[in-house]
Order: sequence, then structure tokens, then C-alpha cells
Amino acid sequence: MDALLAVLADEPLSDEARADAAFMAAHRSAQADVAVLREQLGIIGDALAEPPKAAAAERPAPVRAARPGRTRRPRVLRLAVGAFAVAAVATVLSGMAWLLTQTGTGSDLKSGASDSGAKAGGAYGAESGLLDCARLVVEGDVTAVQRVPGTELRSVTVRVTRYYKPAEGKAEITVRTDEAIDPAPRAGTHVLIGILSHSSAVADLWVTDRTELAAQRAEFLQELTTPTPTPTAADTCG
Amino acid sequence: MLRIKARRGQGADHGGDDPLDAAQERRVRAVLALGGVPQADLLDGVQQVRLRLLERAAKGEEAPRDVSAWAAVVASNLAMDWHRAKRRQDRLGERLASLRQGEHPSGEDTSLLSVAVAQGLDELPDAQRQILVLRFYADLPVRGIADQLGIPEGTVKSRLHAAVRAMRARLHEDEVV
Repeated sequence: MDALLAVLADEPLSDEARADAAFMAAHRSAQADVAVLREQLGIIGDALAEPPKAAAAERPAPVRAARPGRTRRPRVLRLAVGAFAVAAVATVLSGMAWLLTQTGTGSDLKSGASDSGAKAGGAYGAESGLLDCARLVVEGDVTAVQRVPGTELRSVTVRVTRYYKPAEGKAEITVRTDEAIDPAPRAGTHVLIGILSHSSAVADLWVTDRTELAAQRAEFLQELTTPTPTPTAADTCG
Repeated sequence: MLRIKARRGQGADHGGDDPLDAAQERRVRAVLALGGVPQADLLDGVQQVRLRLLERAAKGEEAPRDVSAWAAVVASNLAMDWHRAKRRQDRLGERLASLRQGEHPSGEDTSLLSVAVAQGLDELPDAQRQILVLRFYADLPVRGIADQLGIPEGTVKSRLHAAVRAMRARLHEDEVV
């Protein structure tokens, strides 16, 4: 019997093993080393788990972008998902509404670029509300990209890793993006995609930057874990 | 119009609906960090664990019997995925060495030992590192690890044995034990 394996498996020792001095010495040595490893992993893990003091007050701020217009150009139009609300505690995740936030001017922002000037509370202004606008919002990995002949669009296939809206769906989906979207879709890219319009298959939301993705997840999570009153606003999706 | 609630600050008490308590969150952060997830990405990793717990609830699945153990396994898998995605993996040895500069209360010997263990972790294959962290940081039993990962107990023991043997060899070579 291997002394180290006996320690790791926490197996009781046979009389024969106990009578073997060399084995027992190896067993004690293995026990001591395992104890050191256990202690050190605790020390290291706890040390690394401490958030840096300078970053303790920071939260990643989502980038607020213009609501997309109807024209294909100008360039990337990206919506920030401002809030994610649960209709009732008893039906968590069974009904979701999206807050869509506008910065108002229709100016375009590149997706993927962080906006260090965006403030966490800035988008939650008096104009904000919960709107059940999105037709599709998923996270996934791009597996294929093709130009759509005769258009200014790309066809992007995504292997979905998480559905936000609807709650579930196919393992792989194909959406269309404006060919000017930035960053350009590439196989292997992890992306958050959203389609607002029920009459269009072109993505309005395209987030690849990890910090922004993390910010969006944090917002979804906050809404999921913070009970909110049932929205009464009329549907303003357009 | 629905008034959006103010964003909770980091470190604030978790509300009743938060699927992870403060101690569990800390443990998840540690498992992620031990798995090589960079400091800047730890919060996102924690959020992903939370979201998965909520997804389970939404699908009508029972809550894990041991949320802490379940969360540790999910975090360890996230750390593996991080590496597979070829994202930059934090070198624990370097990060720990920079944390310990001039501040270690237990003396230089302990600090050298910690750095040596951290460096040993960095050198382990991902699968062995995962098992080592789950067994000796998260304190999951071998059977529990096997059940959670969906692999045979023998595989867990084999990886654990290989990991500890490599770590022992490294520590004895470095003469820190």
C-alpha cells in the first residue's frame, strides 16, 4: 500500500502496515506534508480572496449607448440593458422585463470600448422604466461568421451558453449584425447579444468587453435578487 | 414608472434573496483565485455562481443540499474554463509575493512556504489543481468531489495523489518543508 494514498484516502491501516516501521515513517511524513498543504491553501486562498482596498468601492459601470435608429448606418448602435426585473418573487425568472435606457441624442458608440465616464446611477433617470422590449438576449460563443450577399449585414452563429430572454432555447442560434459592428464578430469571441425588435432579426445589443459583460451580469443579478413592484407602465417598445 | 432601486455597494450585507452569504462568497472568491482566475475577474466569477444558483431555482430544481460545496465546485469549474479559454491565468506565486512584500506577520519562513506552494499550484495540470483545491481548501470529501464532478472516485484519488506527490516533491526540493 502506498503511504501517501493511504493518507489521502483516509484508509485505516492494517496491523501489517503498522508493524512496518518504514511504512509508518512514510505515513507520518505524508500526513505532515498534507497538513502543511491544507494550511497553506487556506492561507493563500484567504489572502487572494481579499478584494484590493482600492477597488473595494468600485463597481464596473455599464456603458450607456443610444437606442438604435432605423437606418443601418451610422455605425454600431448598442443598447445598454439597464435593469432586469422579476415580475413576482414566486415566479423568479419565469417572467422578465428589460429596462432599456437611452442617452437621448442617437449618437453612436462603439461596443467593446469602455466608457470610464459612465456613472452607475446616470442611466436610471426619470425616463427609465421596465419595458418588455427584448425578443432575444443571450450569452454565447461565436462559432461562424458569414457575409450576407447583397446586404450590409453579417450572419453570426452563436453557441448559446446562457439564455436571459427567453428563459431557454436552442443550443445554437444565428443572428444578423450590421457589418460595421465593432468589434467585428470572430469565431471564438464570447458575446452578449440582444435583439429588441420583434420585426427584425438584426442584433441591437453586442457586448464583448469583459468588464461590460460583467457589469451587465451584475445588473441582471441585482434585479433578480431585489424584489421590485410589478411594473404598471404601458408597453413603450417601438 | 418603476423606480429603480439604488445599486447596492460592494461589501454591503446581502439581502434575504441573495443565494450566497458572505462566507460562501468569500470561499468562492478563494476557489476562483486558487484556480488562477485574475483578481479583476473574481467578482464576475462570483456573480456567475450566483446566477447559476438562481437558474437552478428558476428551473424548479432543488437547491443543493450543501450550497457551500456546490458553489466551490462550480467556482473550480469556472476557473478551469477560464484557463481553457486561454485567458491570462494569474500566476499565484507572483501575486502572493507582491501581496506579502513587507507585510507578512509570521516571518519570512512562512512567506517562503506560501510562495512555494503557490508556485507549485501554478505548475499543476488544471485537473489536478482543481481536485487539490476542492479537497484541501474547500474540504470536500473524495466521494463528494466525485459526485459533484461526475467522475469516478478512483479518478479523484488518482488526480489527488498525483497532485500531492508533485507538490511534496516541489516543497522538498525547495527545502521549505
